[in-house]
Amino acid sequence: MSDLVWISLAGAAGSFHCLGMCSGFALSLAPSRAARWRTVGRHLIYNTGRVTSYCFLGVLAGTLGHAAIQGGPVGTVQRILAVLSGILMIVMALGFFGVRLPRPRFAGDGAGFLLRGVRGLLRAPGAAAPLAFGVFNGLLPCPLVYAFIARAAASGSFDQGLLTMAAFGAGTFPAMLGVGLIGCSLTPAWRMRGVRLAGAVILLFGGVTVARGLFPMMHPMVPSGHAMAGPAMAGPATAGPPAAGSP
Amino acid sequence: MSEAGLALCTHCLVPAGRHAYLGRVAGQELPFCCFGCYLACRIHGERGEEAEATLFLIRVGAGAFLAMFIMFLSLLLYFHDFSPDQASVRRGVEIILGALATPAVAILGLPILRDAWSAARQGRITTEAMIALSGSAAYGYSLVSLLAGGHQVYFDTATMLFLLYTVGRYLDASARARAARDLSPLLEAEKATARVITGAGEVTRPAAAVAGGELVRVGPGERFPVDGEVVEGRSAVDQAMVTGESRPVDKGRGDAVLAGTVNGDGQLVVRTVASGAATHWSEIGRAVREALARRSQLQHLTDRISAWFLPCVILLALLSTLYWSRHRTAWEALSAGLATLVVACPCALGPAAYLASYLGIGLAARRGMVIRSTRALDALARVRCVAFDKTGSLTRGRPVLVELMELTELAEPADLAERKEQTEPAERPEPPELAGRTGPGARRALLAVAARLAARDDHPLAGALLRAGREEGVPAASPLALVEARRGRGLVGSEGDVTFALGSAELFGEMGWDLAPALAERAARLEAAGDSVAFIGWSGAALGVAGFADEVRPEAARALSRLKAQGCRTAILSGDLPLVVERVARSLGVEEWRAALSPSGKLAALEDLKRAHGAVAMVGDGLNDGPVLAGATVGIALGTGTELARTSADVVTAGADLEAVPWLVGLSRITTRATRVNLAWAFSYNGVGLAMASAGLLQPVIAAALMAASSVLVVANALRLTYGSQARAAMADPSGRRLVTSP
Repeated sequence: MSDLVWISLAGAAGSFHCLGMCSGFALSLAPSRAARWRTVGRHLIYNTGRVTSYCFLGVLAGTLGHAAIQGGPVGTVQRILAVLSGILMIVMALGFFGVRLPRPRFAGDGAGFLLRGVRGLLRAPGAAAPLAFGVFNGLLPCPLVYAFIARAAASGSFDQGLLTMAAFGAGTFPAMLGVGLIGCSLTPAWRMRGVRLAGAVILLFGGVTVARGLFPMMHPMVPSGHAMAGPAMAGPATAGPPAAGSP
Repeated sequence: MSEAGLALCTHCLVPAGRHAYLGRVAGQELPFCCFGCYLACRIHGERGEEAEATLFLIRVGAGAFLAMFIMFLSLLLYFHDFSPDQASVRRGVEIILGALATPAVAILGLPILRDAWSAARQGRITTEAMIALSGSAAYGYSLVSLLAGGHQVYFDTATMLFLLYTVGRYLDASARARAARDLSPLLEAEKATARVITGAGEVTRPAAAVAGGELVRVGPGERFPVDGEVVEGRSAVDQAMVTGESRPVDKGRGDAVLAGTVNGDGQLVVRTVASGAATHWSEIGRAVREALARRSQLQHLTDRISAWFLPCVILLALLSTLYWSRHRTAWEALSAGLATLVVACPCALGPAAYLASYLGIGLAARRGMVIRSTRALDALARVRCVAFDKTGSLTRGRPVLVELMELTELAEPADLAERKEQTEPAERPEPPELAGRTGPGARRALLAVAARLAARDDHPLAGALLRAGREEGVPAASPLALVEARRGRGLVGSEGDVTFALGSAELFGEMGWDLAPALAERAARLEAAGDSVAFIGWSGAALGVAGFADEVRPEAARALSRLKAQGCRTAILSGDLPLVVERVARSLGVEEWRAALSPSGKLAALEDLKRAHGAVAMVGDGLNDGPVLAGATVGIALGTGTELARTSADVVTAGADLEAVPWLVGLSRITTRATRVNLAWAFSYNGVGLAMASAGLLQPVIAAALMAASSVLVVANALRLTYGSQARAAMADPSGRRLVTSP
């Protein structure tokens, strides 16, 4: 499980990055003046929605990775996948250290469009609005999320994908909740430190993932994740996902 | 009725077609091209209230939350091997799934179901019907299985179908709305209102109901609803919509402002010059709306295919289910049928495939050019020969001074000029005193006299002399007192007791002045080459002769070489003299030219070109070249939007800019290519997708994801090709006139 712990830590450190962008949302999620507990509730619901979206993306990536692995010769695709996602993670991590790469043009546009639409949710009353907002927030483009989605894809199984993103989401939970409730933000210097730490962890993960792809015999540092992926991969190999349910 | 045929989607502005999707937004029934646009319009609260948009978004978000949880639990069911003693756990998970799925289906599926139903009542089968059918079948099957105590629950399929469809449609519509941003300011003309200042205060009226001469107030950031003249205030005006120029232009009292341009920070009061219904903006807007609604042959064909498409898909799904029910389990058979229903993507065949053409029309319109139909755009892409009218198209249609010959015994010009500027009467130039003194100075003297006379007249040749004088730096002097202007002959003026004349040989003959043989000879030679001539003289003798020719537009050479680079042959079809046409053709490197053509002769020559080169575009001035423009594969009128109503050309450019021609050819090739790529994708995707789904190789959820991805891909492809690298380079150009080359 040490993999997941590391991911959680990276999520927690990376949430300092989120505090830059997402804390704006969290803060503007109108606090309920009537009852403090209701404010806590709203923020819990918002963060649950957010983490659920992460998990969904993780499952999607894991399933796609699984499908890719199933589609090709045993081992080869998994290695290629590992190298590709490892490189992606390294690229994302370098981004946190200030190495900026050209971004696809339409990605930002779509996010802006979605943002304009969901802004109304922040002020809406009721429990469903923060939930819906959290769900959409979780789908907004974010390099941190991309990095772990890449890892989820490399895991090549939906449950590993789910666990990866769940661990990541859990890591981001305390800081986001705290900011939403206490309403204070960190100084830019501290935020930068958090971002660097997250970048370092992702860089490490990226390196390990690439290494696993290049040298399949090598299980450096964290063999448990690999071991866990084993049975999950063997299971669905017998049948495709939903069809597997049919007797 | 024509209005229904012209209905454009409220959200993305592509033609909604004859059977538009009617959606209720803020209590109003509005036309949409598809469910996604209706969805996006509601989510963004464009028409309705924000509260309504928010409510809708909450439904989608909450539905998505439930659907995601259903997916997690379902994956647990699929992949976890429950041992016999865990049967109750499994049962529990199934019941939770059912409990989660029921509200999720209600939240996500009901809007789709309702829309499918209302379309069905109008006798139409839509994509929503397919999704509604598939989702409800999966939900119903699972519910029955759950209640009967079975383990075959596929609630995830039901909810995911609805979720993926909703999200896919939304993304698709959002991307299309991005494209529509170029078109929307053009189409706003119809809805524009003006704040008219009347004696009783300010009244808001539709722009079309504003007459000329009224006062209209325009606030900061507002769009001018009418053409007019500023009478009060000062502001920078963004005229990009009409002129393509992106830098704001400073406007103050007395400056003209155009409808459709955007006011900067200042508050302006504008006196209208014409009715709000007759502005350049509204003309272009109307033309663009008509262009979008007019369908090309290919579009008619795909329309016909689309009409048969969905019934065929339903049949295929039924057959597939029947077939597999004999060979596989009931769920697998049903799943194959559902996947077949869901994977079909007719939207990729419809408006999405033609998005690039609409974008092209929008891009051109933003530069003030009007393309009358997608058919014209398609035809322009096929053009391999561009024929030009000469006068007014390749040339400015106004003369310039090309030659000025002075008699060798002309007066020393500096002396002469000085003498004339003195108040005392000028002396008659004495030939012996001036003999042999020629050169640039003499030319200046002639020009000075000619310009001083020409300033009294508005004849084109007079204008040419004035311009030539200015260009050669002849000091501007006060116009000479005019003695008389003889129509078609020339001008006679005087200063002191010296008489000056500028005009034809007839004028000099009538006045009995000397016309030296050398001058007459040169004049005859100029006239033989097709040039116009005028003599200049004073004190009883002609002292020089000026030759004028129609000036070739400065951008003509650039435009023609770009056309050649695009692989187009060039030709001139002119009614002018062969000598003149030949000279222009040679100077511009035009490959083929025909001169002295009557209007019917031009048509015949055009037919020859068509036989030789296939599709031929004809470029003319729009008003005089009507028949020949109509006879060409594509007629391009160099005009302005206000002339739109009077010309039959397929394409009307903004002003007389020849570089618009290669730009348009490049644009048409890009958009046509994008449309072809999209149609090819749509047909092959649907073919392969349907084959795989009916063969039982696709899960319904994956089929739905593919379908959503396919339509988003088609839209993204249109956007990429139209706004992509090369096209963007053209847009970034400040003049907005740079060539867009097809790769």
